[in-house]
Amino acid sequence: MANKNDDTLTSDVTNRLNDFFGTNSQSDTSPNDKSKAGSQEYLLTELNAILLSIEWEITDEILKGLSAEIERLKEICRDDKILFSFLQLHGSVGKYLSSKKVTAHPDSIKLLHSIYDGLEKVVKSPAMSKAEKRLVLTAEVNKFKALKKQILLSKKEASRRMTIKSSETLTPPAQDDKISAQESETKINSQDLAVIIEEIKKIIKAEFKALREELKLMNS
Amino acid sequence: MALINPKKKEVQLKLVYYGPGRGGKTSNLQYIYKKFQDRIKGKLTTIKTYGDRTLFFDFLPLDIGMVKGYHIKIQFYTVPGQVKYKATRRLVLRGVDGVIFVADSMALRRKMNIVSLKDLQENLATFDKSIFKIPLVLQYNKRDLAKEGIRLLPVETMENDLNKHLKVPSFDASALTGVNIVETMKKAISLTVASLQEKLELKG
Repeated sequence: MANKNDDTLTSDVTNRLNDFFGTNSQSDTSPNDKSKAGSQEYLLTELNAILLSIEWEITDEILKGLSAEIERLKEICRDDKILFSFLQLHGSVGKYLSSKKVTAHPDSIKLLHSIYDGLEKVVKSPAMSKAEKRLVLTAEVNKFKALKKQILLSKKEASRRMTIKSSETLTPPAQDDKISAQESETKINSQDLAVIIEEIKKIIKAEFKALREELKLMNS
Repeated sequence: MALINPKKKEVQLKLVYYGPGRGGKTSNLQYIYKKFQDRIKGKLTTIKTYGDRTLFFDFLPLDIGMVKGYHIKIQFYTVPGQVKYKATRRLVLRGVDGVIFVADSMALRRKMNIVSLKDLQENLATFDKSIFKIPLVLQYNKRDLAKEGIRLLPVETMENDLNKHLKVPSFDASALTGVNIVETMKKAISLTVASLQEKLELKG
């Protein structure tokens, strides 16, 4: 009996839903349906899949996959300076993500997708002139630079806040505790120093990399 | 939990789209909203706080009209897929009456689908609900990517990974082209309304 009632209710609901959505609610073809992938586009399939995976979760496994895929593509595209530069950009953002993981700047993921879109645009348009391709690349390089600047600024700000905080916490030592206070001060200073040295190293490294990329672009 | 108002003869249901991030939960709702905008009285509200990703939830109210003398109103929600937003996912599941689990068909997402389904089970358990008892529909989304040359999981593998023990209705779908998007929703609604049969009879 209960089953019979269930059946009536289910069929009532189904009828109501058919009325609401229309019985022929089966799919339609989206006007935005993408065209079939060409052989060059196929080249980027794995990279695209990896980038989508990063959207869900940033794990060592996925980042290793990204790095390996970029290296593979670099090998294939080494004669095409524009494609190679796109892949270098991907590689740089990938390395940044590997070191920062979930604490990475939110826009870094966006940038990865933006670089991919640029790369795909170039790959998909064999008729595109070299100058046009370079323009697409330059736009991505500029986005990369802007993000780098943003990250450096926020790092500097964080480091400045840390310095203020540590100087605030360093109260003048009492006469009896002079030695231990000096020790702790030395400890904090050496920690700060290590952070600063690390930051400077990273900045110099990043600047050199950007310069090399620019030089390559100018030469190409 | 469904709100049943016997005086007004009104039933309010809560259905949640659950699944891994970027799996297509929001796209499901967007497709429904776009296609049936003329019939949907409410608005699709998306709260976005982090780039273009949904970090809180999407909300779509749907009034399907009268069934068995009751006015059925449904509220659809999506939950954020990102792992670090587990607390929000749990919150959106409070009072849920039915679930649509949107799995990603991309081969690379296999593990994530399983993790997310496990996460659903755990979060439902915190509200004393069992994944085996709640009205649930599985959707294997992004089937259209096969023609893009992207490696997809065979449906059999997805069934084996996700539906071996649950044995619930499942649909191959594409939120991009609309394949089986409405069918998934319809099935979830009818299962959920049917689960209220007893309550409706008692109150009616």
